[in-house]
Amino acid sequence: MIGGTDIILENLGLDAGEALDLVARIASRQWGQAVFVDAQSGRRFDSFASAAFGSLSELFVFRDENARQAWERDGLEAGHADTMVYAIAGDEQLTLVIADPDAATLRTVIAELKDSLAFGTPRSTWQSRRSAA
Amino acid sequence: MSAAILRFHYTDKGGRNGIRATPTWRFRSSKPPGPHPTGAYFTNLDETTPYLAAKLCIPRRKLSHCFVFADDRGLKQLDGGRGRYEFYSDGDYHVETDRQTRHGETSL
Repeated sequence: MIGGTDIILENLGLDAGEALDLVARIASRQWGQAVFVDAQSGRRFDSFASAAFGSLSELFVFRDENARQAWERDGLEAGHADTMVYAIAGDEQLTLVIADPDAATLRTVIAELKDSLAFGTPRSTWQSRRSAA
Repeated sequence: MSAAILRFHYTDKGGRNGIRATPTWRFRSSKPPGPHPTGAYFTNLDETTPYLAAKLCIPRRKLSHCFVFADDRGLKQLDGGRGRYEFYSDGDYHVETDRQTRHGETSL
């Protein structure tokens, strides 16, 4: 009754909303049509620009709307295992639940998140880009 | 008075038949996919939880039946964020009749 791989990253610098924002940003680089969903309420954000992660502690990022629908309808299936990142922000931790951690795209997302959490985020650049969206 | 602690175990039809084969429910320990400890797994998420299959990272067809029981004695929290709602036992897990709340098909 459990699947996927839980990748637990140390997060000493970002609060929950900031950590999820970072996940969204990095996943968006790989998935230009990414869809974001509050994992606790199930609320889908209309766009990244309209998403407010400040009060969230769990976030789904799907590759696109088709992937979101497939996961909601079927859960994990081999055909779309590499199209979702489920992020849970906790005390000094960020957990990524990944169904297919060997997929190239997801390996990149994981590596970039590790680097950003370990070495810091270019926050000013990101915030300016986001506010312009 | 605090609310009763409830734990949920989702399975398919085949799993259901094995668990309820005896009056005391027996949840068999097994090695799950991925790097998770061997055990029997439970959650505190009921079937109305949005994206339940995605959170558990399992096929939705594995949510067709549910066993619900009170008390989480002997269960451990999973490491990491899913420890908020994922629990497991070290070996087979037995639930005597006085802890059994309900079981049956879900709407999933």
